[in-house]
Amino acid sequence: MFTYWQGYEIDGSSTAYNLIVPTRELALEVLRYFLALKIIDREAEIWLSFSKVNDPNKCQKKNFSYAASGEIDDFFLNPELNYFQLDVSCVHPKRLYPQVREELFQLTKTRPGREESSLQYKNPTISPFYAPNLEVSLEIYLGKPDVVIDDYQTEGLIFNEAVLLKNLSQPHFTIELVCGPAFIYEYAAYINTKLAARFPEIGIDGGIDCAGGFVAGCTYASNLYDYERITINTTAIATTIKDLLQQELLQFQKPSGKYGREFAACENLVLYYLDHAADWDELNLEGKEQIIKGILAGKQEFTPEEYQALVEKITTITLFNKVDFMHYTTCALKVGQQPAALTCSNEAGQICLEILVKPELREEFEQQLRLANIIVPEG
Amino acid sequence: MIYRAEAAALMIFNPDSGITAMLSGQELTLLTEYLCTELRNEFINRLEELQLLPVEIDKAKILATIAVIPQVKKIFNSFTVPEAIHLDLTTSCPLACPQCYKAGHSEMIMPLEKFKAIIRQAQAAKVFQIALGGGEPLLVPNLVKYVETVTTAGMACTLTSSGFGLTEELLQALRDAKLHHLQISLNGATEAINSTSRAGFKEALSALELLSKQQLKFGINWVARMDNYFDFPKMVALAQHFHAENINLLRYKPVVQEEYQKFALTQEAFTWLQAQLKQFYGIKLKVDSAFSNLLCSLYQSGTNSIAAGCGAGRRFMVIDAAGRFKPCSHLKATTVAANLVEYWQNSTELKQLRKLENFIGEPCGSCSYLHSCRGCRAICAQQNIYAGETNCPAYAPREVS
Repeated sequence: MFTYWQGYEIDGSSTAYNLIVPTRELALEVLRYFLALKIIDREAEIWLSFSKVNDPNKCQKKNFSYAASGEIDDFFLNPELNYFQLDVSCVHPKRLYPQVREELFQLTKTRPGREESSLQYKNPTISPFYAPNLEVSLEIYLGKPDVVIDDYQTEGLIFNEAVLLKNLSQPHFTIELVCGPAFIYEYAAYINTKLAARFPEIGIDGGIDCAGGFVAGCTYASNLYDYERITINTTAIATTIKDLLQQELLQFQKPSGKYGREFAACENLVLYYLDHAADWDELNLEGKEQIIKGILAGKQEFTPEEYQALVEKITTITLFNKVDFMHYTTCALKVGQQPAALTCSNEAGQICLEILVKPELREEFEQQLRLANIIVPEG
Repeated sequence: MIYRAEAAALMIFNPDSGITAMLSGQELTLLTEYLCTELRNEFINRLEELQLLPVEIDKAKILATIAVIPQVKKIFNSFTVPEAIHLDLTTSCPLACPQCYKAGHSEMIMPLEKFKAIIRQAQAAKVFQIALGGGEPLLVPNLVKYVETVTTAGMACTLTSSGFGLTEELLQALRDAKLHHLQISLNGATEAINSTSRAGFKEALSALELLSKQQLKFGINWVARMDNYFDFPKMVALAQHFHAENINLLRYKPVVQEEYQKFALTQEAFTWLQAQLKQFYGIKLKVDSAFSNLLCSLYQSGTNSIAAGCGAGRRFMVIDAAGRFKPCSHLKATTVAANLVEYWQNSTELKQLRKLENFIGEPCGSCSYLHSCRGCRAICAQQNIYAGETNCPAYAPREVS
């Protein structure tokens, strides 16, 4: 058990303590720590939804910048609070600090059936054709404690199990962390692991999802290991693409089929996320989308030279972070008989051409690139 | 920092931040492992951030304290020694407040040597906090030496005063003596409201003015009564004006010279005050343990029974200016004992208080807040000390399953 309270004995007649009670202080401590986790995106807004005890059905919303997240404390400590939900976004896998990324890869070992996965990859990444849902909500009902559960059956990934069962056997509050089907297993495991280590007095039920109970397409469908990133050292993007094409190392593809989930061969590069940009409704566009639509000016297919020019133009847009840059420069390919992608990364102004291939093709594809005198960094 | 062995637990107190913590089981094992191996974990980071484990720590000293834990004999419903001792330095006060519960005492000041002897006992027992009061403690000659005695012994020292006699020089001297907190008593934002229950309005405001210009933490003690409860929003504004750290809401208790029922909050006033408490941000609002019914009705079962509820004889005790012991300032009976530990551990009176829940009268006995409230014994003592609070505005009958 760990409990603490703050306050001086300030009256000569009796003790005194804050109006805010320890249970809520602990929940606030969890909330603050959750927000400080390195996978929480400081650039994204935080959305707060809450209701009050005297009007539990009226949900109010408010948004905060991460820098102003300290203001959330006042909301949380209000005795009238009945329901509290915080929606935050996690950092995109491509924007993670290397040390955090490494920590996440290590967590793959905790996933049943995937224990060896992290050892088999060189520079893994999520699918270029499937945007992960990185939003996670922290929810808590504070109006009344939850009912006592004496015969709770644990299943799946459990942290601090003895404490979990003990806490459930008395009136308690539950902090629920909710993520969508396209969330990433390692992110969920990271949050659970960090909270469990930090708060040994809190039991955590990570659920059957965390223990591999669900498969891709359901919970944790986004996979950190879907593709391998191969970075090509070149400043002559157009020339390199033409070389690759000429040596039949890849084929251009464009989205096709009823839902755009299939691919068909094509003559030029087609920007995967922008092939319908000309049809985007101006009224619903956010700033970044408006800018990219303006740059394209209705153009849908690009020769390698046109593609290089476009990439160089996007580089100058400071509003785009490195994830936006890769997102908007992604084109579908076929390598061997497998789907692949061509994209560009922008690391501190240095543009690099990247080919994303299925992990099983990596070794062979790298060999082919070297035979074609295309420089691929080792390791 | 004070580390104290309790039955199956380690207690930690940081006098500079006022944080008290209790660790047992897995958490204690994690701390022990860290002290032995220096291998950090997230829980250790947390203890450091909570200022419970300074970077420069005497690991051997903490480990020695942990080693003693298995030998500590548990005291029913209490810690082995008090967390805090309320110590009256004097019975003298130049003010004659209508609500004073110490009126009529013969004038007396606790001699410094006697005080030092008590502090030595408290230090040896690892008491965390000494709360100095009176009478008017600011008028005690050599007050700074009393404060220094406590702070040099490593405990937190706080002081409650009407503000009478506070000068810039005295304040500076108290700061130099490392006083941790000063609380000024004030019952109204205007002289008219304050004067119905307290004297010394101008002195209190003058003290708050002085305090607002320096670094010592301070707050305001406000007793909620029928003749001032409606003034609470203005009190908050006043406290914020002076940058007070907190307002401590004290429950009105019986005094000889007033008719209790006339000034105790009615159900309506209690509910109004409760609603007001939900409105204010930006200042810490605290309640005294006698006001636990207010805390419970605000947070229902969210209160922590370790830290909430009447703490008389469980978390704190009182030593009056004559050096006599009692569980709470508002209770009449005093005990003479050889030392404070003997009183705390062996007093029949305290043992009975700690078993209170077993035989407390109605309606407290059937109230769902019993274990985190326990009622105010000083109020109940009008009937008998173990009675229930018959007019408690927060009474919430326990659901029968």
